[in-house]
Amino acid sequence: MQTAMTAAAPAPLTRRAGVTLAGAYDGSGYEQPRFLVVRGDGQAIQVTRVLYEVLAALDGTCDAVAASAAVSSKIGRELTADGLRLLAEQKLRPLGLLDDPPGVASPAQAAPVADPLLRVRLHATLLPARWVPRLGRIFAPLFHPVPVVGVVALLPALDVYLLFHASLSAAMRRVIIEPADLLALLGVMVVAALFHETGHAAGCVRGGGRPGAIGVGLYVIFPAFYTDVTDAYRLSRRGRLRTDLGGVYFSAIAAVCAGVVHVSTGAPVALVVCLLAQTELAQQLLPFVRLDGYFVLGDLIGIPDPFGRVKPILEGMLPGRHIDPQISQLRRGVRITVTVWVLLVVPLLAPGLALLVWQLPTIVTATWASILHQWAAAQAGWAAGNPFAVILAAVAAAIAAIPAVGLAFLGYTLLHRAARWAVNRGRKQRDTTHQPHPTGDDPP
Amino acid sequence: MPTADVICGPELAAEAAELLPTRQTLDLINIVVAPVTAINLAFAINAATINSTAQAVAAQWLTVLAHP
Repeated sequence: MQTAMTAAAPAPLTRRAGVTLAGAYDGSGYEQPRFLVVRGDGQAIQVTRVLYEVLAALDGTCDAVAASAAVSSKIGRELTADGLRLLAEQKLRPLGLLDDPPGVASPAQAAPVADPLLRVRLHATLLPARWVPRLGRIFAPLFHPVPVVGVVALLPALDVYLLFHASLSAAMRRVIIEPADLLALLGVMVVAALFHETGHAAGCVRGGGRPGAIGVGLYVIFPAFYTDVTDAYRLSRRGRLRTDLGGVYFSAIAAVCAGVVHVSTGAPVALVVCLLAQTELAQQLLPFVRLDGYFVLGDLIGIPDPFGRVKPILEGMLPGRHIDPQISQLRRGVRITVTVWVLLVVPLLAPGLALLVWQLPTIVTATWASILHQWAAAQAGWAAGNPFAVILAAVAAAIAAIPAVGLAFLGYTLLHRAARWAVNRGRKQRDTTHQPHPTGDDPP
Repeated sequence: MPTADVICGPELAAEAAELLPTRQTLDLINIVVAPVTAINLAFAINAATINSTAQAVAAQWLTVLAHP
């Protein structure tokens, strides 16, 4: 990049093909509005207005002088051609938003992508991206105000009725004792979880977005279903909130359906499903990990990624450190809210993660013992000619291994990041040391 | 000569871009597997005796606490 900037002829500046200018980010928490750009690979990028207008002007039809004039007329202030080149080379090109300069066969580094520490790993697609919008369209009418009001009114009424006319403890005992009921409960809860994810997809479609794949993966140590609703960034705040709350709304629908089935048939499984669906609904509204409540919080305060504010807020609390512009440019109420959130979430999550790492030897030992136990059970089942026992043992062993696998991935990610940080730090120090002395001689 | 309306160096430096993470709504699958084997045996043998009584009682209370 330095070479490009110091070359005799300035490198041409053209927006890369596939980059979409998605307009203003609705309901932004910043004092000045933010804008959304989506790269061809789907990576969404939030930018300030001047950067957005620069990118819009660099459509390949004009040079830097004409582009800067176009930007100046849009923003009502003067942006010089040199200023535009600076923004293009230092802010836009490193993010893969501009074409490579002529003579560059391939970029030296791949365009960066967001890689949060706490994200779904080892994921597998259950429903491909091309099918999910169709599924969403089928269920999108459920967001009409009439069914929404009906479900919101019916659920508490049903709960009150069940509280006085149903025995949850008897239903639980029955389900635990009867293997068939227990299996039915597990099956229905898996379906309910997928229905929850369908709610997000349907909410996204209802707002005009295009949801991506529905899949299953590993979130830290927990298996999880997920729906890719990255396209919701483009939606209005109302559309984003509908997408966020679509899951809990569909969980409420599942709870109402299960409650009605129990009232009609007396099936104990239905009563337990009704309870568990509402427990899940409440759990989903917690804003501390990437559950639905986290996205709701982010959309209410206008910050797309609150976890990205943890580091700058904590650094800003250190003595002698300046407040990062990512924080200082937020509106006052938003800044206070996100700071309180950080002060709550860090003490909640950090000890938990530390405890997980501390318990790693115990978890690995217990996992290995469990796998050996299941191996013995599988051998016994095989010897007895019972294939179901073998399958059950295999499934049990796989489930028992999940926490250890998740922790191994988390440990690898942490080590990889630490190594990358050390390499980058060493490189910066080396560059500083080897900078040419103003006289042209190396410093002593 | 720059005028007051020209965007200056510090303002250019303050222009920012932020990569947004993939937005994946999650539904955690709470699975708890607790393999428990409980064997409860009691034998009372009364053989080849006269006027004798044999009693056997086996009681068991088994609790599993599991945290997903």
